Amino acid sequence: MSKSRKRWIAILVVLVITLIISAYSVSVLSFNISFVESWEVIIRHLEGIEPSNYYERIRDTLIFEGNLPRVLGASLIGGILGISGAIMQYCVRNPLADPYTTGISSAALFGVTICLTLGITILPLTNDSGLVFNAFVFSLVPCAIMILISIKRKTTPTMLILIGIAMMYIFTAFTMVLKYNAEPEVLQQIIEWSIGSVSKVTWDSLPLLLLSVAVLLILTITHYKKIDVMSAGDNMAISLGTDPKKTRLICMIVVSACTSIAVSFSGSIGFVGLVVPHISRLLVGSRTSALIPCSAITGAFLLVAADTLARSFGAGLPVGAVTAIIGSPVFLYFLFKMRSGGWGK
Amino acid sequence: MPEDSVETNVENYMESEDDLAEGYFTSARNKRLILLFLAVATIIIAIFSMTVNGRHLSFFEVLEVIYNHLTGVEYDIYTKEWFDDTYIWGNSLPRMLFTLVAAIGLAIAGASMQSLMNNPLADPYTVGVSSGACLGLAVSVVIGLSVNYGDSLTIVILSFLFSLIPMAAIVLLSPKTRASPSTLILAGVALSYLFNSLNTFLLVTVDSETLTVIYTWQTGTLSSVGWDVLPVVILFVTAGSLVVSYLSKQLNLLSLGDASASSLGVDPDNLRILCLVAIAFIVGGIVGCAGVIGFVGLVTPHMVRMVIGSDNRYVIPAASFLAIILMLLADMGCRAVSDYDNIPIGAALSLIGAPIFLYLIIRKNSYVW
Repeated sequence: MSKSRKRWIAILVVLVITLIISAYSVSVLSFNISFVESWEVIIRHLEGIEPSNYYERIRDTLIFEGNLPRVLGASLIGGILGISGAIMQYCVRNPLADPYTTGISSAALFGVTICLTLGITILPLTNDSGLVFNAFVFSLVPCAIMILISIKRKTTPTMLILIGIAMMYIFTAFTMVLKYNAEPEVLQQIIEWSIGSVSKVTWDSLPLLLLSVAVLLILTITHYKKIDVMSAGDNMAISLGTDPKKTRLICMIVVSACTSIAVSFSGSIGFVGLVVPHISRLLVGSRTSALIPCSAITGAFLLVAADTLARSFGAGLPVGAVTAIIGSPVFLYFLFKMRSGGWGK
Repeated sequence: MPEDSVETNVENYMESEDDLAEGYFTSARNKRLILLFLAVATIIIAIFSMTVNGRHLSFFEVLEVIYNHLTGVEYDIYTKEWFDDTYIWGNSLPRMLFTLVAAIGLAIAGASMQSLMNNPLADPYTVGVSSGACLGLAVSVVIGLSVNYGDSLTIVILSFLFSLIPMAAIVLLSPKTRASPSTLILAGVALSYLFNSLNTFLLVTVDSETLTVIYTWQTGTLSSVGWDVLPVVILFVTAGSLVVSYLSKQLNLLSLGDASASSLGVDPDNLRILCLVAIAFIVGGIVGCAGVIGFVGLVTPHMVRMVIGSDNRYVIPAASFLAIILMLLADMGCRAVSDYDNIPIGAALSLIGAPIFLYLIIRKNSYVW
C-alpha cells in the first residue's frame, strides 16, 4: 500500500514540476517580459480583449501564436515519445528499444529528404504541410512491412528488432544517396530536421498530437494488464491465458502510428523515448500502470525543460542536443546510483 | 535374455552416441568448409577490387604491378607504367588493405559486443566510441586543423584519443556497482548522446561547407586512407583482436548467463571490462581513420549466426570474412558509380547488405538469438 502510494507521490511531484516549468516557459521570449505580464496577455486574449497598441499586438502574437502552442506541443510530443518508448521496450523486451526501433525516424527522414532534394510530395500541398505529410506517410511504411511479416510468419521480439534494423538501414542508405547530391543549404536543413525541433509546432498541429496522446492512453488503460503479463515472457503470458503476439502487434501498430504523428511535426527527437522510460522505471518501478503515466509526464518535463533552456540561450540551439545535455548526466546518476534499473539480472 | 537386451541397449546407445559425434563432426566440417570458401572468395575479391579504378587494368596486370613494385622496378616518370604503379601502389593497395583490416576489426568488435552484452541490438559503437571520435573530429576542425590537407595523422590521433573517453568513463564508474550488461549498455547510450550533443553544439558554429566535410566523415569514408595511417590501424586492430579471440571461449560461456558462467570459472564482470577495453581500441583506431562505418559491425554477425549457429569460435572468423567481402563490394560499387569517389561507403553497404539481411530474417524464422 505504502509502496504504491510512494509511486503516485513521485508521479505527482514530477507533474507539478512540469506544470511550473511549462507555465514559466511561456514567458521566455527574446525580449524581456515578466512571468505575470505574459500570463496577463494570454488571459486578455482568451477574454477576447483586442490589443490596444502596436507593442501589445506584437506581444500578443509572440506569446499566443508562438510560445503557447510551442510549449503545449513540446509537452504533448514529450508525452507521446515517453509512452511510446515505454511500450516499445515492453514489447520487444529490450532496454535499448525506443519508439524508432521499427525504423520510423529513418523512414520519415527519407520522406523529408525526397521532398527537399527532389521536390516530390505525395499530396500537392504547399511546402511545409507537404513535407509533414510526406514524413508521416513514409514513417508508416516500416510498420506496414512489419505487420505483413508478422501475419505470414511466426515472429519473436528479436526478429522484430532485426527487421526494424534492416528497415532503418535501407531507408538511411536511400537518404544518404539523395543527400550526396544535395546543396550544402539543403543538407543543413535535412540535418536540422534529423536532430529535431519543436519550433514548427502551431495551433493547427495540436489536435492531432492531442489525439495521439489520447489514443496511447486508451491503449494503456485497456491493455496494461496484458502488457505486464507479456513482459514476463511469451510462455508465461500464454499460460496466463493471453495472446502475447496479438498484444505485441496491437501495441506496436498503435505506438508506431502515434510516433509517426509526433515525428512528422517535430523531426526525430532522440533520447527522450529511450531514456525517459528508464528514468521513470528508476522512479516508480516497472509496473505498467505506474510506469506509463510516469513516462508520459517525465517525457513532457524533459522536452519542455530542454526547449525552455534552448530558447533562453538564444535561437539556433537544437532541442534534441539540449535534451541530451541535461538528460544524460541525470540518467547516468540514476543509473549508477540505483544499480540494476529494473532490467538487471 | 535380459543380458542380451541390456547389451543391445548399450549397443544402441553407443550407436546413437556415434551418430551424435558424427553429426557434430559433420557440422563442424561443414562450418570449416564454409570458412574456407569465404576465405578464398575474400582473397579473389580483394585482388579484384584493385582493378576498379581509372586505369582499366586486368586482374593479373594488377598483381604484376604490385610484384614489380616489390621487386623494385623503376619506371620513367609520366609513362603509362608509372601511372599504373602510382595508382595501384599509392591508392588502391593501401585502401584495399585498410578495408580488410577495418572489416575484420568491426566484425570482431560487433560479434563480441553482442555476445558480451547478450543483446542483438549491440554494435561496436554501443559504448560510445563513435560519438567520442566524432567529437574529436569536430574539435580538431574548430581549433583550425584542416581535414583534407596535411594534418590527417594529427586528426586521426585526436579522434582516437577522444573515442576512448566514453569507454574510460564507463570503466571508471562501473566498479562501484555490479556492472550488468544492461547497465553498461545504458551508460554507453547516455554517454553517446552526451557527446553527440556536445558535437552538435560545436557544429552549430561552423559554416555549411565545413559541415558537409564533417558530415561525410561521420558517415564513414575510405577516400582519405593512405599508407601513413595504415600501421596505426593494423596495430590497434591486431592487438585488440588477439585479446578478443583469446577470450572467445569464455565469451561462449557468458551466453549461458552470468551465474552459469561464474560457476564454470569465468569472472563475468572482469571479462566484460577487459573485452570492452579491447573493443574500444579496435574501433577507436578504425573510426579515427575512416569515420563511422555502420552496418558491418551490427549486421554481419547476425547474418553469419543465421547460417552457421552461434558458436563464437566460428562466428568471429566467418563474420570477419563476410564483412571484408561486403565492404570490398560496397567500396567497389562506390568507385564504379562515381568518378569523384565521394559516395559514403555506409550507404552502399546498406544497399547491398540490408536486403540480404531482411531475406535471411524472414526465411530463417527459427533464428535463436
